[in-house]
Amino acid sequence: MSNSYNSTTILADPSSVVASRQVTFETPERMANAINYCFGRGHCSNVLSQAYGDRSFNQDSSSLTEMCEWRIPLASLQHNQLECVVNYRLHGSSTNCNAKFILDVDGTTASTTINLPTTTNGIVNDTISITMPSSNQYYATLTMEVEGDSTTAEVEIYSVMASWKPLTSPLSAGAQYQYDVTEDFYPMGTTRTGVNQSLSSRFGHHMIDNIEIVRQRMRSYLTWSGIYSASSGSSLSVAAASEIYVGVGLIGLFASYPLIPTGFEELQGRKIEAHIRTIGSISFDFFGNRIEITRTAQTVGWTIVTLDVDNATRSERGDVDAPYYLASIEYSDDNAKALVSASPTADGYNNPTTLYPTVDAGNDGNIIGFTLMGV
Amino acid sequence: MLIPTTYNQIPSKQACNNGSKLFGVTMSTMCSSLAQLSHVKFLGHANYIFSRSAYNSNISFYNGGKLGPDGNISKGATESFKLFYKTTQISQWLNLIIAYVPGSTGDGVDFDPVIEIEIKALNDSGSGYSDVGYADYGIRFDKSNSLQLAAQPATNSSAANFIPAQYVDTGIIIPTSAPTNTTPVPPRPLYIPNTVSTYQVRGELVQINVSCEDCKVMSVTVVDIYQAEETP
Repeated sequence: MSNSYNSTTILADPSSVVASRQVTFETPERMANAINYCFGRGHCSNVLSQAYGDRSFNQDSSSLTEMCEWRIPLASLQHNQLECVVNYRLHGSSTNCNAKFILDVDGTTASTTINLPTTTNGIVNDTISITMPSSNQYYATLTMEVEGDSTTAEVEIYSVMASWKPLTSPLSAGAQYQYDVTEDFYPMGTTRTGVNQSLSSRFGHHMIDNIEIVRQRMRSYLTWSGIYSASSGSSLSVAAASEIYVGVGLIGLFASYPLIPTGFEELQGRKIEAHIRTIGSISFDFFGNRIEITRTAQTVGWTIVTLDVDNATRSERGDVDAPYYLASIEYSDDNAKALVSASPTADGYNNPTTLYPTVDAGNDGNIIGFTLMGV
Repeated sequence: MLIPTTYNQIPSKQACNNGSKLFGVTMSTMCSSLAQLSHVKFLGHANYIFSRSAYNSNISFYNGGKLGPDGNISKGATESFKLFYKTTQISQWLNLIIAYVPGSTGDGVDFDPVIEIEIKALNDSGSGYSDVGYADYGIRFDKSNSLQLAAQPATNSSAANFIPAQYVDTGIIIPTSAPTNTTPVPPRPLYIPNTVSTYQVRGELVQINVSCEDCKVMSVTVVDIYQAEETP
């Protein structure tokens, strides 16, 4: 079928087209299959992953309360269904507990509300369908609200995950957009690569354009949101003492492994970005970069920072056999002072006296959300 | 065929114009670029950072920021988490990198940390996901497989005294055949079968169960293992 893909036949052998080899149709057929597969399913794995322990993500309020916000990369403007999955339990019993996810792409929003009925370790999921705006976009903002049932039942969240639903085979006919509405991706008609079809100039031009476009697809490497407005009937030593800000305890743990192979530097366009949600301004060290965010004091918002990568200085942790590099908040004196600690008497340390979502001088200069994404 | 990890230079489009002599290298480079996309760039990846209590029991203090793992774990304490991983249609072996903190020797007891990981296949029949069986009965990290027995006790809350987490990983040495164990075995890469019973697994959501005792998991990174050589 035209524009189809099949994951078992996506590898076209480069050695099948070198000098002295007989021309066969299978190579271009597999190439068409491969580019359709990459556009339809490329990076439809996790765009959001975060887990919670120590009863830190608890909510007992009987109204939907905003608790987290993440930035996530889009797969493309054609991928318009985001699946959200939650692992949770209730302390107490109720049918009135819910989690709501609100997806925002440049002001266009869609949402889903998922009921949380289980008192044991349960899974729930639902899909948000959104009409993508007709403008250039490559990221979305996802907000999570949770409601419990007052003293009757308290929600505890263990993990949250989201991924874009893949485009099914065959891909739709006609030009499609990844992030840029002036840049056409052309799905390849696989029937046009059959044994009795000529290999046209169009095939080569479109294939080169398509490869360049799909190389620009962003991957999500690290997603973290503070949990604000956590609430529990238990004391803070037991529950709802959530991580709201990035603190010194996350140094080293706040890490991921972006793929940075040879040729990365020569790519055109976006490469690797940190999307950082802050209250006011802050400077800190991440992945070999000094990140300096300037924002009006006591205001909250996202800032996009393009990172430079010095491959030679990045050590690897674990063995993954591919050019992944450890990206983390650095062990530095500056970070020890910039991130939240508990040294109220020491000059220059950051010890907030106010808990977000309240914003005032007591919590100015803190990180409440962080996403690392790259091509 | 070999799978290149690099973003190689794409041939000039003029090389594909009508009237141009089409050399093998033009097509060959496109083939390599596509293999890099499907088998390197778009390998599956998930990175779970575990948000933990930011309450510091040593000083009864809470200001919304995590001050550091303090090692305050009761002997015998257990935790279990369900993490979700959207596999790709070509996922086969997974590498997991786990950050953890063992219990603190400050409690005066011996800790015996254990982390077990298994993978369950999931199916969404339209009314939510349900567990439809084991994709991999999994692996077990313990003191005979690199887990550190105890952390140094946190003595105060200053930035210089937090406990760095420890790390273990499954490695990337791919076994010669699919696993057949029915209880957790020493660490090895985890396996994603194509199907479990009649349910498709590759390309679908799986559930990674993480259970631990005498320690706390702080992050779990999951990566499809890159395989340098594939059969077209």
